[in-house]
Amino acid sequence: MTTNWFGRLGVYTVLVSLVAGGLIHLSATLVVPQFAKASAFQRLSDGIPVNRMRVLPAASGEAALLPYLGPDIRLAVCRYDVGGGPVALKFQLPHRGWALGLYTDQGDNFYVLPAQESRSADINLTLIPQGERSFSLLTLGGRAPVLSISQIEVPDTRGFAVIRAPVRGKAFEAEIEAQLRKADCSVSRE
Amino acid sequence: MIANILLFVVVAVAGGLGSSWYMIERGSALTTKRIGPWTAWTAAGRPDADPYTRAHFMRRGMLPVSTALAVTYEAIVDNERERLHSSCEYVIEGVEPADGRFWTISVFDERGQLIPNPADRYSYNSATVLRAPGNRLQIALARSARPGNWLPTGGAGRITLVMSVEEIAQSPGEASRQPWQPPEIRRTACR
Repeated sequence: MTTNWFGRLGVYTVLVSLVAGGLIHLSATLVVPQFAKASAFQRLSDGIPVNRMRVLPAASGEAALLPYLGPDIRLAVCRYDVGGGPVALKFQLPHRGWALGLYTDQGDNFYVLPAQESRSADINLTLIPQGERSFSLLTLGGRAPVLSISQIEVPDTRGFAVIRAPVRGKAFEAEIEAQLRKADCSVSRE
Repeated sequence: MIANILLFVVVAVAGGLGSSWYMIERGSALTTKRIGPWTAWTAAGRPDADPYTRAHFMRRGMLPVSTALAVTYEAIVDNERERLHSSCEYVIEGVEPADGRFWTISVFDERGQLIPNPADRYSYNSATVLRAPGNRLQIALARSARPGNWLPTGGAGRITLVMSVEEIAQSPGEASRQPWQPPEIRRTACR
């Protein structure tokens, strides 16, 4: 009985169904990021002007710009656009746990710079379109320059620079916010 | 003929879409690490992230943190694999990550929003948590106030716990670290 039922389906149909299922699986997986209506980057795009650094308010039960973001992390975000020229980032990574992340507007995190005790807290970076890189020294306020690259090629014209700061208690909130507010993002004049 | 069409619909459409949804929403052994009730996406926020990981964070509207900086564990079930719900009370119990790594634990509703409460309490971290005797971590998850560390769940319904643990690169020559296990989530009562 069972053999007859399978026989009626036909090996050809089974194979076509499996191949089509695989294609639908792959297509659906790849299409989701393109059509996610409320991605983090769309949420951030609504409230942040281009090439300006904004410190996001601390997440609370009343207001949280991003889902699954707790109040123990504060963010400063720049929605950069290098279409009009390189974009300069000036910021501090003063303590362990602080970090800069660069994202494409599709959400790919293509660059991470964590705070390090062996490096100055003051960081200057220039975001440039692909193919326009020139070599220079990383500007490290006051210290002997370290041979490094201060220009970062971004894969897409637009994206986000996000500075993350851990909040180790309410007593530190004001200080952390003040340090994040010093961060700057603007079209480079050099 | 009808059997062939049914087979095609079930295998190709339902199977293709369903397996894609599962791999994006829940993950698999290829994309996640599961420890007890906790799940961590191993390629979160990395340039080489696989399509499932990318889709997971894009669909949920999350800003992924690179696993080079922190590992983010998420729990939607307790140790008995029962869905976390605000009508129940839980104890989160375990040990802290070693070597002073910064960690946070927060509770969210099903949409990923913090749960409003009069105490304005949404999370604990390695600097704000009260240690239990023996340096153990013990946090109560309940609607009404509990002594010690208490995370209010209000009337949120289904809840999600998110624990983020700072990653520190191991320096050359450093003795290998003890593997750390995220805390248990034990249900203590249900209404």
